[in-house]
Amino acid sequence: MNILITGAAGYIGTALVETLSRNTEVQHIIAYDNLSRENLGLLFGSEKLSEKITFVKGEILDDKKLRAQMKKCDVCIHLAAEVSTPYADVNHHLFEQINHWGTAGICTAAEECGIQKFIYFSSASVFGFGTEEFTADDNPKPVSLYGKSKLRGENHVNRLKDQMQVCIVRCANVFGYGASMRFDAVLNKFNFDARFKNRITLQGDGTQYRSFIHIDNVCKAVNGLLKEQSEESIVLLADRNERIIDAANALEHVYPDLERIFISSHLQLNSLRLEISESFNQNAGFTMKPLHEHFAEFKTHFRF
Amino acid sequence: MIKFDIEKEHDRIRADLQQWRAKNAKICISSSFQTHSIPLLHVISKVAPDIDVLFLDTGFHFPETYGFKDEIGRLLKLNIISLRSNIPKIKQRNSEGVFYYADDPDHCCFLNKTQPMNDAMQLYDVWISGVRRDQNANRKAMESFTRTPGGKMRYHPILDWSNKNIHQYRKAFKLPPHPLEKEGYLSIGCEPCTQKYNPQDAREGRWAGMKKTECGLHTDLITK
Ligand code: SF4
Repeated sequence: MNILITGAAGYIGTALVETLSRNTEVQHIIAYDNLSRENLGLLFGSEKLSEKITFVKGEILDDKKLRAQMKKCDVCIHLAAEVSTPYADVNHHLFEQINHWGTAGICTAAEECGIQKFIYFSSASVFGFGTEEFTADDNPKPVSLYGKSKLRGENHVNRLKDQMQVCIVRCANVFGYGASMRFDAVLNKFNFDARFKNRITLQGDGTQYRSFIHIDNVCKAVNGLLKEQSEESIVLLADRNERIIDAANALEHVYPDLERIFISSHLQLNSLRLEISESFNQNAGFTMKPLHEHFAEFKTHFRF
Repeated sequence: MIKFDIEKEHDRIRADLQQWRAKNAKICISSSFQTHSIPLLHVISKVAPDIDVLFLDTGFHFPETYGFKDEIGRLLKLNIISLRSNIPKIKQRNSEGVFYYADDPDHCCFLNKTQPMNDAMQLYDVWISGVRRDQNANRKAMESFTRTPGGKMRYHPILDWSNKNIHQYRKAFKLPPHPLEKEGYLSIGCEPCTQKYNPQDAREGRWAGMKKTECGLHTDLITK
């Protein structure tokens, strides 16, 4: 199997390249990324990675460059995205460019380059908010501009279904240590702030739910999806639903003196929970442990 | 048109094409794969099924349009060729990083429609287009036979068909509508420049709010 990964130098991308490079069925990985986050964790580090990885610096809007790489592959994992940062719902045109039109262009390229399996990383945020857990059958009603643009990307991916195996992964908030860290995701930010400021910030009263998945489990899930000839084209990827306040409590196990600041504690913010598929998660070999154990493990990665 | 006789229309268009086919001229038809484009594609599938159908893939189409193109291609057994700009999308942005469609739509249309069509016409002698006089003022003044600025033949076989004729033809052959029609879109082009039909605006939802009514294919690639 020859795999093109867009957004390969990002937080998920780097971890995924590491995992897939150890998969004996994978012959070649083309790691395609524009390095917009200036995070070079994929390219530098003490642990050597396999020779079967090629790095190509490129934009997903550079159709020609992308197609030249795609022609060498039979699987495309499309991770590249303009991602949202909490409470910064601005620059809708950039979301449109990358998440909608960038995905549209990749879909047309996949059609014409003979891709046989297309895995698109969408987001749980396409569902918007709700009091109940969302299932794969629920109608998406995105609220954020990011969620809206990811759903528009999904619409283009859906049209590939007649021509190749398609999997749309609606992924929960990812957390955990990776070589290309992101600290704008809520749990990672909690860990960073706990370690270096001994103080975390909670929005609202903290009782809102969010879905989460550990980065190692994301990689296991994708590894599984590569093998599977699944009929399901939409996968909800989450290993837990937690209230933000409970995540803060778990962090306190690891940092007992931790302080917390509530911003607008009079507000009860909306929740977003995904249905957890025990069977999918078991098949993929997810590691499940309490949040505080994850956080203790995370702490070991800080260098001092 | 006094009486709309579909058989006669087929015969007329077949005869028109025959003059070029007899000389082995290379003929193409361009199509935007809207509901009203399908009758002419159906005619062509009957009278000249071997000619190339050119689809200007601007990269900004609705996903439904790509699906509809594929469906019609299968239904009418068309040989569809997608034409694209040589300029990657990353270079189709202004100095502030905004796509040209949101800043200079004429240039966006030039890059994604006029230029690729003009380039493609190097390979053909005759270009069939489904423009109709009742569509807008520019098309009202067109001729059935004319030329591109590069000297290639332009043939407009349904210039005098009315909207009603299109409807009659679609009904006669049970031709499917573009899937977005039921959602209120009448004229469907690129997604950023298409809006649902608004009865207050006779523009049918293309480049709403602008004076622009044509993309350049029927203004720049035609001799006046
Ligand atoms: S119709 Fe709009 S998006 Fe399409 S080529 Fe013209 S300006 Fe660009």
